[in-house]
This record gives sequence, C-alpha cells and structure tokens, in this order.
Amino acid sequence: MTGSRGKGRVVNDIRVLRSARGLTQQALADAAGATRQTIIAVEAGKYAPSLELAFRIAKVLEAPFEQVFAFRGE
Amino acid sequence: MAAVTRTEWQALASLLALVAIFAWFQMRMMDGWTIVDQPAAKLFGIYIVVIAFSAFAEILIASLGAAIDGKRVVKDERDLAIDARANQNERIFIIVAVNVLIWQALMEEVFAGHALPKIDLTSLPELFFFLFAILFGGEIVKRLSTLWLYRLQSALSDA
Repeated sequence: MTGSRGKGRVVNDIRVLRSARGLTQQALADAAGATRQTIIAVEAGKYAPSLELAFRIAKVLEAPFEQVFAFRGE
Repeated sequence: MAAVTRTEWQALASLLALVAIFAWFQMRMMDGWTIVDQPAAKLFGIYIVVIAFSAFAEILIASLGAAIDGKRVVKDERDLAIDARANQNERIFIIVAVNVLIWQALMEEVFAGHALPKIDLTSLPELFFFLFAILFGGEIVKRLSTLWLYRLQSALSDA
C-alpha cells in the first residue's frame, strides 16, 4: 500500500520526468487513469502503484519502465 | 500538512453524520447509563428511523459534494485499496466486539456474582442496543481508518 513494504522499497523518478515533459500532476493523472492524489502519493514514495498503473505512467511519460521505477533493496 | 481532498471531506462529513445519528440513537435508547425498556414496536420504529437517516445523510453528502464542484468523486486503485483496508478494520472491530459479547454472556453464567457491568442479552432492548452499537462502532472505525489512511499517504506538492 505504501512505497515501502518489508525490506526494500519502490522508488521513482516521475517528478523529474514529468517536469521534463511539461506535464502537471493532473495531466499525468488524467492520461494514466488515476487521481491527482494518487500521483502525488506515488511521487512522494508514499504509495506503490499496481504494476498496471506503473506501466501506464511510464507510457505517458514516454520512458522505459526501468527509468521510471526501480526497486531499492536493503 | 497536505490539503484535504474532496474524498477526505466526504469521509469526514460521513463520520460526523454517523456520530450524530448514533448520538440520537443513544438518546432514544438510554437514560443515563441504563438502557430503557421499550416495546418491540418502538424499537422497530427507532431502527427504521436510524436506517433512513443514515441513507439520507450519505445521499445528501454525496449530492452536496457533487453540487459544489460539479464532479462525482472518482475513485482509482489507491482509493479502492484504502476502502479495502478500512473495510478490513471494520470487520476486525465487529468480530472482536461480537466475541466480547459472547464472552460476556458466557462469563455471566460462570461468574454470576461478578462486579463488572452486566449485559442482559435476554432483554430485547439491550440486545438491540448492543448489536446496533456494534454496527455503528464498525462504521465509525471504517471512516476513521479511511481518514487516517488518506492522511498517512498525503503529501505536499508544488505542481
């Protein structure tokens, strides 16, 4: 439910990639089929999205999945 | 502190409405700390009013929210995950509360002279009150969980 569960956590570069493409959080949310609050929570690392949403975000950002998300183990 | 979202306002309004309805229910059922003896017909009337008030309050809150910003609350996977966690907490509360009632009933048979507060489940008003109170408690736990989980995940943004 959150960005960290057990050992390790999902981290992302959504904020950087989004800004580079001139997208607002609302625009990204609309294009990815999520709410702005969810994008905010994902960017802040407070919510780990489902695989499906993660792929949709990567697609909207036109970036390879592994450039957007990474798993940082302990 | 992050801004409160429409979904959170709605959950908060729903919680306040629920507490208000429970307060009304309690006033109808209790005199001080004693549950008032009432006929079944009157209890049924209270039941209908509580259900009607609860349904009306939920519809009103949803309609008002939509009227204010012209949009329905759209839920995505995070909202559904929060709903699921809140429902789970509600279920845990109800299971624990019902088990407490069962233990209370059994213990009263075993330790008849104990000094703890007694619950007479053979009395219809008491049974009605405690079962309804458990349902209310579960709903209150659910809404508090919803609000807490949203706050937990909220974050400030400059976008």
